[in-house]
Amino acid sequence: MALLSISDLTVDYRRAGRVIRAADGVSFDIERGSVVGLVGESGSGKSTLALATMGLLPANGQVTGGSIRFDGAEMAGLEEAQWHSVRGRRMGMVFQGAMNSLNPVRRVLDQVAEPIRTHDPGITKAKASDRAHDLLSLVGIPGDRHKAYPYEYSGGMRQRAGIAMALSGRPALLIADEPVTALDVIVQARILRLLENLREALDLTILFITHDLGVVARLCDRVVVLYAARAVEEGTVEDIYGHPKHPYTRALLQSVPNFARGRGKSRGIPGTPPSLLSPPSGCRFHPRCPEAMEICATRSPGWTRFAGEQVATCHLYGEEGHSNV
Amino acid sequence: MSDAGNGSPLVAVRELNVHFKRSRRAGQPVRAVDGVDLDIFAGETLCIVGESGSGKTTLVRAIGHLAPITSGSVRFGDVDVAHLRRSELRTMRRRVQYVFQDPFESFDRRQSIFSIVAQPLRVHKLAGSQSELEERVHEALEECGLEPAGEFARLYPHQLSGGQRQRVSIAAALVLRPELLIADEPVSMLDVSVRSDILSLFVRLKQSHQMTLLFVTHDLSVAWEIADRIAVMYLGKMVEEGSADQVIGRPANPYTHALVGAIPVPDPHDVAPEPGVRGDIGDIAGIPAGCRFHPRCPFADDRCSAMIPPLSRVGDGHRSACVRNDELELPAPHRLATGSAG
Ligand SMILES: Nc1ncnc2c1ncn2[C@@H]1O[C@H](COP(=O)(O)OP(=O)(O)OP(=O)(O)O)[C@@H](O)[C@H]1O
Ligand SMILES: Nc1ncnc2c1ncn2[C@@H]1O[C@H](COP(=O)(O)OP(=O)(O)O)[C@@H](O)[C@H]1O
Ligand code: SF4
Ligand code: SF4
Ligand SMILES: [Mg+2]
Ligand SMILES: [Mg+2]
Repeated sequence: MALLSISDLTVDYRRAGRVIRAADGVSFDIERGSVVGLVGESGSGKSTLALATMGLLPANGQVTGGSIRFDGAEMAGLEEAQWHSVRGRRMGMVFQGAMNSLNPVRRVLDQVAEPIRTHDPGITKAKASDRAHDLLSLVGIPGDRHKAYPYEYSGGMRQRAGIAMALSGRPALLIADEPVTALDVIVQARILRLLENLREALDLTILFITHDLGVVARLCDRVVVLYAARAVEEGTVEDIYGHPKHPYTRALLQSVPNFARGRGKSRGIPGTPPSLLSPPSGCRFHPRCPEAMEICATRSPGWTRFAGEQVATCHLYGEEGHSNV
Repeated sequence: MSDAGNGSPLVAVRELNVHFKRSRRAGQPVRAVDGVDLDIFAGETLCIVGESGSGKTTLVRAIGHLAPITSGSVRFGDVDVAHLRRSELRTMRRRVQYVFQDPFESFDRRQSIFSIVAQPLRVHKLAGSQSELEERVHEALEECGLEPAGEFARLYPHQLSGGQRQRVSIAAALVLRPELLIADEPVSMLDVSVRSDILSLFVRLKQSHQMTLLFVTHDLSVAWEIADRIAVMYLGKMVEEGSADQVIGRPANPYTHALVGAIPVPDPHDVAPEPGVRGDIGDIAGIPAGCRFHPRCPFADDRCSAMIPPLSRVGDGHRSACVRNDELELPAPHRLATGSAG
């Protein structure tokens, strides 16, 4: 059984009397022990899926359909009180911009100890502090820096501290929302390596969110590609990088500078991601798709299943083996 | 002095120091730019690459007289930037234009796109009539891919995507027809999917307007896409300089080598080497003695903390600052397909 199973999930935000559907019938599974990359441009709904899974949608956001099953239990309709035993404990999250969200006037050690004490109210102060030391060492922060203030940390160290906090409840699932986007390449490579090691050491399952297909190739087992609030393709990393089916996935890959391809070969995707206030009809990618056909503007494509477990929604392929994954 | 390019440089930076006093207590000043020599040749695209805090922004701001020069010199054509006269400052402000990183913060949200792009022309009194003003604004918007220009001109920043806003900043820089366009991390905040179009826009505009492009990025893969030459900075010092092929295909300096090795590659079978480099640039309290990279360098030996290696020749137009320049045989970063874009 998958550790996390999202099916036909719909999330709506209300803003100024209008409804923004930021997840529109999204489905995917995360098997225990695997790392799944969730990839899409900004505004495609990545953070929304993460927040919905953690039960952390803002007040104007709501799950309006579908289900989120975690470890066999339904999360979608949980009351806030019931979330407490799940959030931070069985699921931990590294937030987008976590680097900048540490409290500047509290020592890092104390900030990491705090969620430990929340998760385990009986723990002594000294024990919580010991565990915070352990966590900070685990994520690679040298012992003599544990008691420093966040401003004394580099961006990479702050991101490591954010990961330590996400791990404080010994979660089975770690959701990392753009954890390396703002970091320099060397630091980025080392954080990715850290996640790889943590996965092994702690038997973690990871949902890794990014807009950059370049960074997930090595870390992930599977990739889900999101476009304008809908999943459009899913497969193993070999599928997605080796023989992507969806024109959007192909375009995303083309946009990543790739040294193996040589210089000046990357191509941007023309146009901009659509507004979710009034998404395009039919296939949402059709205004930007180099392969768009007449039918694309009027009908949403169904899922096509390819060899292995690769699936994509595109009219280029008809709907053989169609199944609503 | 660099032996790349022909003739005298458009910009010549010599022993440039930009030091900032620390606010808390006295302490050592922050040596944001420390003894940098750099030539920028007319018509080239030069990328300054380095990690956060390496001094890239400070260097390019000093070149445009936006950061105080502590000592050393910056010559822009025959102008001495460190000792500008008032009249020269005005011309300088027109000849050098900047595009900054954050397209979301650089605009006044109450200003229409038209007035954002028209403003530099107004300030420099470069449009005689309203119709000339409109013509030049629309022309710049079109050149930056914002068509139909008339429609875009009426919009406000919040109605545009990040990529479109960055196109507006480029248009606002372009209207003054600068000789030198300085772009500081202009694509770092953008989705990868829109980056390469913005990069090719820079290259196209540079050619059609016969500008020189000084481009700052922390991302070598961005530099790889557009640079003729690359200069690599580390903690205020220039550590390597050469053609894009030299610096990325055959890096001579251990720091550059680590940077190139850390670039993520969109290939699940890629075997990225374990980053041999320790720590972060910001872990370092104060500036290390000798080679500033030595606490993190996998190749450091006793000499590295004893002397500051000068930038010295390792090939044609290729320089590296490393005491072990002559003895290190760094393995070629095997993942790269070198060869120029033509
Ligand atoms: N006005 C200032 N006062 C004091 N210190 C400064 C000032 N501007 C820059 N610095 C310091 O100078 C050093 C270099 O900063 P700079 O902004 O030039 O780096 P950068 O390479 O552009 O970094 P980033 O990639 O983060 O933009 C840093 O240590 C910074 O904190
Ligand atoms: N709190 C909110 N209120 C209203 N709309 C929101 C809110 N958060 C996100 N949205 C909208 O939902 C869509 C998806 O956003 P998000 O999940 O943040 O995407 P991503 O993480 O992929 O960039 C966007 O159109 C965004 O503007
Ligand atoms: S359905 Fe049509 S528009 Fe959509 S991706 Fe496929 S070909 Fe392109
Ligand atoms: S001088 Fe020494 S520490 Fe500096 S880069 Fe060269 S080998 Fe490394
Ligand atoms: Mg997000
Ligand atoms: Mg900067």
